[in-house]
Amino acid sequence: MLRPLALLLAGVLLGAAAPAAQTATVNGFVRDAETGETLVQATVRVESPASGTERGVATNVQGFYSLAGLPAGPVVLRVSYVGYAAQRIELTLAPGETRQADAALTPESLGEAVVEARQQSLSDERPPGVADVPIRLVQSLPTVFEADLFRSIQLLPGVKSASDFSSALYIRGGSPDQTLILLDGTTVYNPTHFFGFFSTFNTDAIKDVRLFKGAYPSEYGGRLGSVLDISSRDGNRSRTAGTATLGVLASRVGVEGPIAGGRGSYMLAARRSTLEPLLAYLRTTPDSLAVPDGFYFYDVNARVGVDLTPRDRLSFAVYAGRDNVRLGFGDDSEFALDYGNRTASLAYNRILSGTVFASARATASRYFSYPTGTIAETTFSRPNTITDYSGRLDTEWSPTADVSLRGGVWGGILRLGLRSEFNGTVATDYLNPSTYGSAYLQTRLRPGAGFSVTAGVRAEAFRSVTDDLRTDAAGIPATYVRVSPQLQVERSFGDRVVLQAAAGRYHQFLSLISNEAFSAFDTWVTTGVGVEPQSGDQLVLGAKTRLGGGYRLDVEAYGRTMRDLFDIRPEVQDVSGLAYQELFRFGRGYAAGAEFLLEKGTGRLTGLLSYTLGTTRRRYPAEPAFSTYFPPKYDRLHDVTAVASYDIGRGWKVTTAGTFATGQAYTAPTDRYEISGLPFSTTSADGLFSPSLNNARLPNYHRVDVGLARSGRTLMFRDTEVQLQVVNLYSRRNVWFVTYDFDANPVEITRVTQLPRLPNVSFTVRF
Amino acid sequence: MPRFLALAALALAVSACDTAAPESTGPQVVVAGFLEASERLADVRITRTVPLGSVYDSTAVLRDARVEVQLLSASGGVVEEAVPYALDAETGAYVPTLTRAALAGRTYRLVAVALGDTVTAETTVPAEITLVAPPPDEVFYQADPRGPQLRITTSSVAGRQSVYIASTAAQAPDEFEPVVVDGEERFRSRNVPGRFRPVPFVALFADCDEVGDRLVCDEDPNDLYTSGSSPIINESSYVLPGDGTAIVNVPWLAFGFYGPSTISLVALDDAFQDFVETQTLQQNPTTISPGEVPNVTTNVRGGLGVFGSFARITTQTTIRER
Repeated sequence: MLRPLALLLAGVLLGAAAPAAQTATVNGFVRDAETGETLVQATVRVESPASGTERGVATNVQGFYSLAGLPAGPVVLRVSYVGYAAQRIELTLAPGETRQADAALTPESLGEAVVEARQQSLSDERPPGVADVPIRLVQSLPTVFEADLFRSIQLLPGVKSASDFSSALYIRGGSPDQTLILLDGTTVYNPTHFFGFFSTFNTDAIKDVRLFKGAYPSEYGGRLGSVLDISSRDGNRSRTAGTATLGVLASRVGVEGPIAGGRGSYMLAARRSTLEPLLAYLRTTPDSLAVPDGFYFYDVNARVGVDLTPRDRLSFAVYAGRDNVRLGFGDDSEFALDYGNRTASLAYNRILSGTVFASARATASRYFSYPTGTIAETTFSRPNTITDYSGRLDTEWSPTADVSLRGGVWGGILRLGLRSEFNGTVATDYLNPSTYGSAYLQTRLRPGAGFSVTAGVRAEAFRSVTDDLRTDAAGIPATYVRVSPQLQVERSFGDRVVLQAAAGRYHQFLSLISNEAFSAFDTWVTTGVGVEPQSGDQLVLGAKTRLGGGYRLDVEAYGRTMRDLFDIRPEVQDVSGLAYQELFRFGRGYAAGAEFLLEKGTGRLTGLLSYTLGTTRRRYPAEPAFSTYFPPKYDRLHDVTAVASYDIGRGWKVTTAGTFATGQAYTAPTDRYEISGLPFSTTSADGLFSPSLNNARLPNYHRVDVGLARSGRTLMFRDTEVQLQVVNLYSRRNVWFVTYDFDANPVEITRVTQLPRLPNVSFTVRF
Repeated sequence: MPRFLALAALALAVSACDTAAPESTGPQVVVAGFLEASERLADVRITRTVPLGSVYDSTAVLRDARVEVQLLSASGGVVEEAVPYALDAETGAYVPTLTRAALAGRTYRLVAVALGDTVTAETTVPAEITLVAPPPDEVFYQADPRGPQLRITTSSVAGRQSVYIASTAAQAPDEFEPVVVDGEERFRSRNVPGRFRPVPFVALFADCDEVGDRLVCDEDPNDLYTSGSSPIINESSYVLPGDGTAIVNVPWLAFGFYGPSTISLVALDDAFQDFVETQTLQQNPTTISPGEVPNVTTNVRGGLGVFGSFARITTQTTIRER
């Protein structure tokens, strides 16, 4: 596969080098006319009345576009973005001219959005496997306590949740660690608050979210499955503005405004839990033993950016989030947990020429988890940290209207630290310094006849020094180099239908040890001696159609393999003295499915209806209980989701989300037994036997959430919003898992249920 | 389109069928036997599985099995000696009919015929461990934050480091009698002379209150904390001075009552380790998904359970209140 790709890239470079003296170039940024925020994935179409040609591109993550190889003479630019009035710009281009034409789109309310169907290219908008997540929809969806990005993403076809209590993303049969999560280009290693209950991203601070569910392009790497690329807001360039939201669980404030005379902007958004009064009350109740003595979480997003020149932009973004809980038992026992993330990103973007755009970025990310406990003077602690410093350089070159090239390098230093101490003895003291580097080259060609081909190749190297826990000797280095080709082919049939196919090979050098019900102990591990990188192949086939009337239907089928999966052997109770590879079980798996998405993006009624038919299996041959293929808990054959938002008028809007899914896989034991006579116990050991792992299904899952929002004047405030929401409207007691109590005879089987009906209310003021 | 709808309906029907829990396919033979290094060959219990929803009682004991333990030659799988076992009608266990000691480092094979099936299992007995330095006769609770210390010679198992389980048992816990307080049943200490109170964290977890000179608890501490055992501890977790011994601190968490307590350290063979690790995972899952119940790993071919072996030391200390 590599050789044809290399030939293709060489051909592209030669073709692109041909002179085009009689052509012109248009480039620029697309912005929100009110705030000056750049718009990502806005569509720019250019028509040349003289030649009758029409071409289009989408803005990149910096809101930049470039159209080269245009015929000289008069051209018309049509710039559009969902939720904004389209803009028409007329230009007359001279031969050889490069013109910067920035566009400023005026936002309209979602119900009145104007979309000119013929101006948008389906393939430009959304390559195969890609889902854009409108942040305004995220903010309006009914949720438990807080508007939550990940909970909204879980409503998309192909994305599943493990339970009502988990915000983790299980995408196309992959576990959460198979999704690369980037905030302003910085890897976020634990994107959760409240021990996994909801995600760490404050929706007030987010501008754009793009999810690559599979077969993602070469510019990304390091994960087997998918990529979630989140961009924080730049801030308002026009005026100082702010918001304040009072919620049940947490409250938020935000402020933003222009700097440098409108050449730049800043944004600050903060959120903090407001549970203290509730906890104080609960501590006065009789069953207060399990009520924390203290609990809080917070997160802060800040970003500042300035245009140094019309061609240069510098921006700096930081994020800090933390969860802290302290639980005391009597005089000599306490449990405390402190975990969170810090990220920072310094980015410099420059328009190098009319057709070349470059971006340089330095990032830092740190995750920490510090659990400590004392019971009867017996102390234990398990500090766990990840520190990741990286630098990356990306360039885009669009030498002609039909050719674009993208390339870049990314390298960094990653340190994973894990220390466990029990009763004054250090059981594990583990520091795993790693270095990584990658480079990619990617091209997009439009050979004509409605075809578009995107080909790329990515090379990745990962070197880790892992401790052999058998001795106190220094760690042992292990280096792995992997090459990942990707190919994507599209064929458009007019403006209404596009067929797409994409395939790629992916590698992953990290794996996550996590607990589905409690994310605060998340621990990442790396490849090492005897622990090869995980790898997998993906194939996606898709059709996107525009049905008219604002409706569109997307259908995608996917298949993927997973090899050399490594995760911690779950039965190991003490890792001291084990060789590094003895910590892991090694497995393989596969996933396949089809997704159907009917979407309506305009009019008073907007929303989506999706259906996913999917399956995934895994096996770990050396582990007797996991040696044959089994469905992981999150495997679901059917998954139906409906989301609808109706603009009633006069500031009222109602939103509803409903889900129906096949019950999750679980193990239904058929028999029990006892083992007595153990030399270290006076009681028997109980055993359960099942013919196979996860051999049954829980009852089907279904739930409906509704929300009502009122925008307008409230009391003395001009611009406010009140949200009233009910989660699980009819209080369906969906089963989470099944437990077996051996204290009863026969064994008592209990079905642990998920969330009951829960109300939520929030009040937001904008100024 | 009708074909698609028919397929979709079929798929939904298949999905719905999944929700029915599977039923037992019949009883299986369960083995429980543990040979202790240098001790008389141990009794073996042969039982059967029962369907999950059924009562587990003495009818699970199989009394008509044929049981034999074979000593295999040191060089290979040749049977050096076979020891027949006979049923002890009183206990329901099978006991050896010959007096033989389990030899450290040697492999034993169990052969049992029950429920019409022949099940076999093998275990290699770990090397003996000896107590080099016992803990002090008396220690004051939490005076040393790491707990009472003892020193042992380390065991050995071919191909891997030794693994241990530490356990304690209170020898003279106070007795608790049920009483009714404010209409609710609680448990009051009897303050029996020569018997001792639960330590503070046990009193906390049993929801005990001081009432006069008695403790009154929501739960009977004797039901919960008279004995306890650790998870598996690898030899590397202990302090190893390099002279073939290991220094072991037994954490205070392991002691539920003041007064005399026995302390045992048990070194496990491979089969026993696999059983303990996977049985613990099944009953107390950590990193696997809730509701995922993996089967316990067994070395019994054709059945379930474990035929394992171990080496053990036992000592004693007395915990005094500070």
